[in-house]
Amino acid sequence: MSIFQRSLRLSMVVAMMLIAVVPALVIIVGIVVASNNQARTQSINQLSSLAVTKTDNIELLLSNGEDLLELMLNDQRQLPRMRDVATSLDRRLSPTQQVSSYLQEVQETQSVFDELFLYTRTGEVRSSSTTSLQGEFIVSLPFYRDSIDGVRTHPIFVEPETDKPTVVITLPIFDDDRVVGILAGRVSEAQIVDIMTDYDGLGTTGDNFLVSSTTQQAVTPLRFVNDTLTASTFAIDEVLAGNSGNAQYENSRGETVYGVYRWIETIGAGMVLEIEQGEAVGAFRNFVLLSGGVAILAIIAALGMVWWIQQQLIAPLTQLTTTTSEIAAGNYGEQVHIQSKNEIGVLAASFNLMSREIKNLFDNLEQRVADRTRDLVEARDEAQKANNAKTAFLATTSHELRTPLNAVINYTGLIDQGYWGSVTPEQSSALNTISKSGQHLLNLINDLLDMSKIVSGSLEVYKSEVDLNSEIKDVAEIAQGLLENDNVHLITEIEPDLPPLFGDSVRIRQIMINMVSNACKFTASGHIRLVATKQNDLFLFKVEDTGIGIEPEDYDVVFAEFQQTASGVTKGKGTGLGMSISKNLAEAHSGAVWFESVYGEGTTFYLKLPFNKQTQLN
Amino acid sequence: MLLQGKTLLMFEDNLENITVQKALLEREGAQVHLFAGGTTSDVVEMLPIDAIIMDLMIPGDTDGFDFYTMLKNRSELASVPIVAVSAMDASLAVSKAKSMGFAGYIAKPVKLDKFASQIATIISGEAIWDANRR
Repeated sequence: MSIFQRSLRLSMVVAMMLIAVVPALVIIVGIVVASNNQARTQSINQLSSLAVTKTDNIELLLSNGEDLLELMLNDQRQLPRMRDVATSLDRRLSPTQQVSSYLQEVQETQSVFDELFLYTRTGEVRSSSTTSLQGEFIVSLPFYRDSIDGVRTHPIFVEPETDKPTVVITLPIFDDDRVVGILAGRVSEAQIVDIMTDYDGLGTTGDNFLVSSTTQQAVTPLRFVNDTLTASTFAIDEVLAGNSGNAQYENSRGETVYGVYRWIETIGAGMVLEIEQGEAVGAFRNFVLLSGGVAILAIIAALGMVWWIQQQLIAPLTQLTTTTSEIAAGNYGEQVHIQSKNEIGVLAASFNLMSREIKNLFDNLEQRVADRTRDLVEARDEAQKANNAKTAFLATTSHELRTPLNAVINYTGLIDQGYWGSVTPEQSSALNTISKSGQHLLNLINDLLDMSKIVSGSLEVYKSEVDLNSEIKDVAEIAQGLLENDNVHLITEIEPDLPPLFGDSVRIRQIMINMVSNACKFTASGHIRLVATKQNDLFLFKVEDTGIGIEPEDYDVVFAEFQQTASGVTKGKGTGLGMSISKNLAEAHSGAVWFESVYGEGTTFYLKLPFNKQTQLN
Repeated sequence: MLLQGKTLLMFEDNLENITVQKALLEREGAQVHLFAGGTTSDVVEMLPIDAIIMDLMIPGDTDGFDFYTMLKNRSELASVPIVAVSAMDASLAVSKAKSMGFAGYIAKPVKLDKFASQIATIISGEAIWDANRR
């Protein structure tokens, strides 16, 4: 019972899990994964577009710078002076002041450069918009050599003195196709820094910076770290190898970030933009939370459903089954207490009605059984009494009918034997007729009494060990005596040493004699063969004759009570009970009697009886 | 003379039966005493007897089977063969007689040509079970 409940409940929980909980969990996991992917894609797109914008801005700044310097060299008033300054052997002999003033003038009108300066082919700064570099040799600075070779925009570097990211644009000053000096501008550090410290679009955790290929360091300020960035990250390594792309990696602070890196050839630097994964994903948090919430609600709804079904269905069902068990155990009339108005309530009400009905029926039943039992006992006693009376009557009748016949038969016999004086042949013949008629009458009476026992159901067999050998010997002797004339030969094929059979010797003998006497009665010539054998645990007795046989339409008549075959009637002997009695007697021994016949050729009757001792229970 | 010198005791109340059976036994030389009723002591007094021929339907409350048991309880009669001769239903009577230890059973009507020799056989110690169906 409890296993049933548990398993019903369990199966329901499992079903709900499958229906609601598992899909909900799958949805949650799916949403989280999808959100992460979406966050990454979106972040990368955002960072990429920022990278393009910032690169464009930087390149625009540089191109503006180049344009400005070119414009200056195209000033035909200033160009000769600048050439002079660049070529004069002694700077004091050249118009350095005028050029410096010009540079200063230009410097003040634009914002691209922090400083404009002019140096000789040998690297001596002759004029400058500021005084800082005046007279210095800049041969050691990284752009010097390339500037002489015509390179215009130089890789960014950190100026050792100022510790600032520095990009220098240089334009050569020609004199007769020979580079005599360089007009250079130091690009506004503030402009670059402005671009790289504009964190719009980078959220609260995003950062971007430029990494110099020469110093392998970040050359623009970091958003969250004051120190110079020296740590290597995946993006820094990639971009310094000249690659562009995006990735998810750990930044210098150990945070997992989505990053975009872009190599900017013109300034020999890499731009790295990154945003922490947490923030990127966080944008989707509400969506994930909403989905998760819905999923959890679904799970709660499923569990609620389980609880509801438990309340509505299983609990009443449990009560019903428990009460049913009670009733089955004999506590008739037990009631269930279920108040609901639904189908379960209807079931419960019907159940209660049924239970009361069973109790009523049972109470009545006991009384009825008692009454009926008493009636049956009375009826049985009556029947027993009647049966006893019938048996006693049959026994008495049997005795009373035979006694006078015995006298008739024996007296005629004694007279015939001359016991009371000699008799004439005619008298002897008459006495013989009386004796035979008496014997016949005795047989009829015996058959009728047997039949009445069979019909009334009071036939009993009295079993003990039967010596078949001696019984069959007697039967064969009787058969010999019954043969009507010399035209019939008796053949006996009797298996020697048949084991004893457990049965009623008188009745078994009666069956065999009946079979034999039938054969003798209906066989005028030929033979009668008696065969007695043991076949496994069966005794088989066969009487085969070459008599008149039995017509097929008479087959049913042979064993029918009070009926004789047409030829039996013609013969005028017997009651027609013999075979019917034999069949009943054989069956009372768990055996059988049957026959095979060819009309006009002969008949074979069979008797089969079990040796088996267990048949004694009959 | 199958029964020359034999003394037989016959329990029988039917005159015709007495006549026939006595005739058949005496013509073979037997001396037949009738017992028409009495106690077991009365029987003992009639010793020596070679065999008792007992009808199972004897007058009074006790039937032949009961009286047989009473006789067999007398040590003097223990060795005397008792044969039942009856017109009762043979099936029951033979079975009962066998189980009770009768020396034999001969159904009525007795066979004129066999009865004396059957008694002689019983006296010689061999059982006879003649239900006489047919």
